[in-house]
Amino acid sequence: MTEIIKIGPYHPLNLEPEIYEVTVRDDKIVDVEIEQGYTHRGIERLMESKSLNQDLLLAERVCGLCSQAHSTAYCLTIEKIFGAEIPPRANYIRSLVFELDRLHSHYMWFVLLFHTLHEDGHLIRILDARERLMDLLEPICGNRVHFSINTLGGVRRDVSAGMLNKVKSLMNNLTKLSDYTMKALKDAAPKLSGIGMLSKDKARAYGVVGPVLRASGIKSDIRKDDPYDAYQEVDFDVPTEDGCDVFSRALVRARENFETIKLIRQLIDRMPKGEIRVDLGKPPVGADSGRVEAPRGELIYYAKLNGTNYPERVKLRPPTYVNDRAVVEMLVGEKLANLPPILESLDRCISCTNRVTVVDERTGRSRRISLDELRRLK
Amino acid sequence: MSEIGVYRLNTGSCNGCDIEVFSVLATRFGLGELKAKIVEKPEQANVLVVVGVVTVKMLDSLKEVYAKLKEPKVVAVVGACALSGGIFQKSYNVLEPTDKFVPVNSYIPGCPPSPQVIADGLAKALKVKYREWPAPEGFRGLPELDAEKCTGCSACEMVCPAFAIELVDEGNKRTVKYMYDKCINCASCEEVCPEDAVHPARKRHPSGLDRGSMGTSAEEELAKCPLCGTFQVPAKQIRSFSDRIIEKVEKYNKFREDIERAAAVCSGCRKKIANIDSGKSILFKLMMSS
Repeated sequence: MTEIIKIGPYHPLNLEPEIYEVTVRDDKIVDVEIEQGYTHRGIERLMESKSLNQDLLLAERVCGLCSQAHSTAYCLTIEKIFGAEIPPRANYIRSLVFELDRLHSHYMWFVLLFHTLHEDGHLIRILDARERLMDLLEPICGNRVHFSINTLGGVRRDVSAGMLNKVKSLMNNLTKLSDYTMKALKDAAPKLSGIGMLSKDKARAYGVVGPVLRASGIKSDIRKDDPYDAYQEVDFDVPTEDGCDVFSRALVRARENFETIKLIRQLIDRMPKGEIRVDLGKPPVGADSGRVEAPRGELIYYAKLNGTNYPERVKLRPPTYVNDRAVVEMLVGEKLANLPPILESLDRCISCTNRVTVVDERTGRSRRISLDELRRLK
Repeated sequence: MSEIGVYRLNTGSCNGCDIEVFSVLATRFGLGELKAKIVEKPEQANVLVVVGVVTVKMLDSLKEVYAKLKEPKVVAVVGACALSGGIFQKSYNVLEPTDKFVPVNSYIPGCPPSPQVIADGLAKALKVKYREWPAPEGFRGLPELDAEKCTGCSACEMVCPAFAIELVDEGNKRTVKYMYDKCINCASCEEVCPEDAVHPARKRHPSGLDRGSMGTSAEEELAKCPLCGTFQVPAKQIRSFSDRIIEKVEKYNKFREDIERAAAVCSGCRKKIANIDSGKSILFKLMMSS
């Protein structure tokens, strides 16, 4: 029996509401269609109508979890065109907030993963511990999610020595949390191993980025390959896994948490003193691009300035956009019940399966099944 | 009393409010105290939490989900985007505000509002008491305007990326309006204010039941243009920058009145200065009017 299952468009925790139309034959997924555009807000067009400084705030609001990644990528691009050198302390503060952002994003991902697996104990435990990190981000940046700490030419706020010490001592707690996450993940390994395969060759062919790429055994990290901010001055490893499955993708993120903690400790120890902001002067004519390693992978910005305070063109390529294509490769041939963790492994959110419409091709009848029912299909 | 189901709908949000709504689940915020829980289906919920701007493609889904809610239906909108469109106002694919499409009971401002504020907003929508949370030092809340210091110079209006600041001139009065439903907590207004009159509040601003009343304002008196008699430049701004000119060049002190009178000339009259002769005749008129 062939069924077409329509997932979306509304699903409370999804990064980008969109529809997955999954064709199922005998409980095996045979085809996946993706329909995007549900969160299309016309950002690139809006950027042309706002000034350079306002665009920075807009860039930040492209994504709530990669807030710092977007604003850093935008700043890098615009500062390249201006030909500006930003002070070393500002670079360190940017990197520090970037890494704290990565940590809270990854922990959130684990929360969502355990939500998908219905392990509410782990969910609440990680969510509670994550609050300690958010409690520090709030006084450092002023806001828990949209930090607005970057500005063109540096950072807007300095971080006091007392606050740096607090961050450093929090890292001990977070190491424990990361240990806990790792253990919880390993317990869940049977549910996650061997599903959603994306081989090394396929990963390269689809051009996936970030943890998805690293879980297919390819070492790639913009922080190493094309260092920005303060990343060339610190030591860290880029974890890779050869499993190519959902478990490997989770493992890569779990191992990244430890690397990030290591990075944050170094950034604090080596943070230089001095200025945090320089004046950029008048906007020049020119175009350039910049890229950063967002929690979800490579994020590219391109901007073209025409000498006015309003950019002529800004283009961005976020990581999920490329990773989303690979979902077809991962899902085809899988059991329907494995769909939630596979979608989740891309670091997109899966509560979308709250509302699934099953269309029976022969009768044309459609029915809706919930996440619970989908889980019971196993 | 049975537990109240809360369903969240993302109509085009950046995910920031989503994760904050999800963070409300953390034990410390005591969602249990409110006798509320987050449910997975709109059919199980009384309370609909809408996050994000309403994009053209999501409008039907919003209406569909609202129709599915259990009675009595309660809608809370979270974040500047859902309240007014926030920074995405005037985009071609964004339909703002959300309350144009579904009736809204509780407005939770912020970009994004912290879980504390979201829990407070839910409590208000459900008419339950909820505790107050302090804000840490360095917290960037909604901007507070010092009406004493504000001169109505419009610098903040120009930099605000979310159109949250509006200057309304009526007769010889200028009202500087800060609209919290549009504010995205970026503190650009604080950075640019020459009079140090705007500061982000160090408190978690409570949610409101009415969108229009959320905000703060200051009234400024406008000076009369000595040539045509229209009101355009705030009197306080003229005083403030005359002070700054004299502070820099002390000998201009004796021209203070002239500077202030020339500053009150409206933009329409200034545009009439075509050449040096017309400039001279305007200066002459100014001297005569003193």
